[in-house]
Amino acid sequence: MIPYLLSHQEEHQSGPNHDHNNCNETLKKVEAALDGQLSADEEKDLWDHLQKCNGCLDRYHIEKDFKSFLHARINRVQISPEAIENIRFQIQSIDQSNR
Amino acid sequence: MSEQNELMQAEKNQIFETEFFPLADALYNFAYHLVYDRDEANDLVQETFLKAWRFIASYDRDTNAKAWLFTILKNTFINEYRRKAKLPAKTEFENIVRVHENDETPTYIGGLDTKQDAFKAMLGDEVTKAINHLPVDFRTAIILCDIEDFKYDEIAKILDIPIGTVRSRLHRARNILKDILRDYAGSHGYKE
Repeated sequence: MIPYLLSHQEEHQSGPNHDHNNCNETLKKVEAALDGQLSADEEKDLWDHLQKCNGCLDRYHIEKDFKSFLHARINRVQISPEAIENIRFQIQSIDQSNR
Repeated sequence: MSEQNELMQAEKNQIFETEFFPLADALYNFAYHLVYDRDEANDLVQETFLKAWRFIASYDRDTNAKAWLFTILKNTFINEYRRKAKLPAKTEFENIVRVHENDETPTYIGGLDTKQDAFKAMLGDEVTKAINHLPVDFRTAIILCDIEDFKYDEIAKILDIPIGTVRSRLHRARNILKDILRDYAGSHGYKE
């Protein structure tokens, strides 16, 4: 298991000629990609890099899993049917008083 | 009431029934994570719907109903509820929040395999508690992005902040959450 504080190069496993400068830029785009914020071109550039770089690809999957984890696990509270009915009633009251 | 007024009423009712009321749960969930009190959250949602009714003329049916309502709710919260809001106890994880609150650090991903038992065993309560420890500005960004799936430009409009600030708050909020959840997984005896 990878401890927290390995440097980026140590975390990465990639080919001998891999340019790690690109990785820093790529990782900044991963969050935006997962949030659906990249253009088609930017996504293509991202995937080009991820296909060549195992380290960044692993990172992408971890970020993706974390986002899904949050989305699935956060408790969502629901409004009561009574509260909705009360709102409907309040709205109708506004109308009545405007007639 | 004139016939034209009746038509307008019918259209307003239709918008509310087909577009607005279905969003009540999402609005209530957002409200609750702002005020942490069910009655206050109900009041905030009610106030939002009443304002939506009064200002329906400024709603464009071709645009995003959800973003419009969330904006009203957020503004109502700022103007009328923020001072009264009960805040959760902040002492736990305070150090983690402080580290990331003012700094955009790169994310460390060690120990963050959410397929591990440690994370799979976490209940919704633990994750929700982590969210509740975020400062309100970070909490709102995470809820709008990761629960309600708003895009950055919608979040920017709802919160009245630049898109760069949206991105930055999300990044810092996620750093805090990762540290809190990693800390929780570690302290509950789960080994990597």
